Amino acid sequence: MAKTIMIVDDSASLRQVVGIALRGAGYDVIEGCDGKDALAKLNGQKVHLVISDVNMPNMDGITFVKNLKQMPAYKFTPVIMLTTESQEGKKQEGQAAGAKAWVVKPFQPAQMLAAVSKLVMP
Amino acid sequence: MTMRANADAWLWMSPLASGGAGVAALLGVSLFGGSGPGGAGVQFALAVAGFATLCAWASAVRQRAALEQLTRQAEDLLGQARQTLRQQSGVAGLEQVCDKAAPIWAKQIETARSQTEEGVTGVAARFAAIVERLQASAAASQRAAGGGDGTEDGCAVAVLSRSEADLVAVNRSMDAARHERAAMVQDVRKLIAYTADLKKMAADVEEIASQTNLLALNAAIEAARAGETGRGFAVVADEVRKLSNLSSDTGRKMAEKAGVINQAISAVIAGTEKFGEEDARQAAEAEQTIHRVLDNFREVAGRLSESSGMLRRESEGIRAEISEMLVYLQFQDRVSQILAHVRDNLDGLHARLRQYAAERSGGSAPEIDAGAWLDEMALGYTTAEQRRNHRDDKAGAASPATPGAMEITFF
Repeated sequence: MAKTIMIVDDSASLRQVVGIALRGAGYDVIEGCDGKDALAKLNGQKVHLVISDVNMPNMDGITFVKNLKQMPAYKFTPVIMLTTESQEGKKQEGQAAGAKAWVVKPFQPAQMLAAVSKLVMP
Repeated sequence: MTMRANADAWLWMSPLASGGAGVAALLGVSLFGGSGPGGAGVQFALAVAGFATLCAWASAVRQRAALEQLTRQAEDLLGQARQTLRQQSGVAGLEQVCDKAAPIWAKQIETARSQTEEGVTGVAARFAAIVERLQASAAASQRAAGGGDGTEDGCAVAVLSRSEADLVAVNRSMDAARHERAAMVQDVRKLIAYTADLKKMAADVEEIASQTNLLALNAAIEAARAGETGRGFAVVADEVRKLSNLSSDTGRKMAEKAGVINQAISAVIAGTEKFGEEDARQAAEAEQTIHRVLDNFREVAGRLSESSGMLRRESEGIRAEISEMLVYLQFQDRVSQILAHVRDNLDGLHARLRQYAAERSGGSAPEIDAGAWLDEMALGYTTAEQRRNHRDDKAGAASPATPGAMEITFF
């Protein structure tokens, strides 16, 4: 059975781009357009990994990850932050929130898939 | 211009007025005391009048100089006031331009951003559809050709394998039937020996019957020689003779039937052997045909598999190309963030301008701290090139949309 990955990004084009890479590798993909939307769509369903942007309207990525980690069902769900932001301070915020990796856009699909494969839940 | 004209007229009129007073004093002395006995008084009066006139003249000159200085200062102030008015008028015009233009600029930027986003999203969706269709085509082709391990039931390799097994089984079945028929012929051939035995046995019966007949004849002769007493024995001897004749006929018929059976068996063997040879020839031909068909089928299946492999490789190549293109499509995300930031800044500037205008019309005109404004603007940057542009770093113009190694940090 294919593993499920959630993509959270306010850019529809970027969700498409990440989705193409993931679906091509055999993953099922669900999408959220910001942190608030993602929390609503998760609704307890099983996801094996979350890829989230940082700067988003309604609820930013750092707040989203903090909220996610407080939910028992997603406490151990690995999160990759995918963002244009490369400042060290922001990375530390992401790490403190509970993210497992920080990827700066633009990403190489092969390397992104390697990171996903490394972190995705069994 | 008017102020300058009034000042000039006043300056020229003052000395004339002072001089007029002196002349009036001189005329008064001349009229009322100049012709009387007090002539010294008149002269004194004249001198006083002249001195007063001189004093008045000097005062007028000083006043004129002071007025000229005041006029120049007034003109300077007036010029400065005009310049200030002109500048204020210009600033007010710029404020109006910004008030009207800033929202338009923000909308234009948002329009460009949203249209680009929509376009790139559409392009990405099309690419996704192409990748999916390529995958489906390659998978279907691989399933049909059995390009992988050939375990798919319906694939050409599996069908070929099953067909070959079925046809070989049919061939073996035909061989087995042929061998069984040959065995049967051998069994039938044994019957010929049995019929030979039967013929010999029939001949023996016939011989025994002949000897029995001869014996019956001798018995009849001996019975006749015995006379009346041998009459019963003569009847018996006659009956034995008849029986021997019957036995002889039966033996002969048996020999004839055995001959017929022998011929029939020989005919069956000959026919069977003939059919067996034909069967063997046809089986050999069928086997050759089967192998030829299977070879043709194998060749077609090989070409199909090769074609499927090529399709799969091409599909993977195209997927790799699309994967590379995906990297370049990510420029939209960066562009969108930069444009959104500029749009938000324009909106902020517009709001600040309105607030400033309201405060100024209320009588206060707070200073705007440009440095603080720019620092706040920099806080909203999300990309490295925005920060480089802010620092006016020339390298900031370079696009980062063509990444080398991806920047990734594992925590």
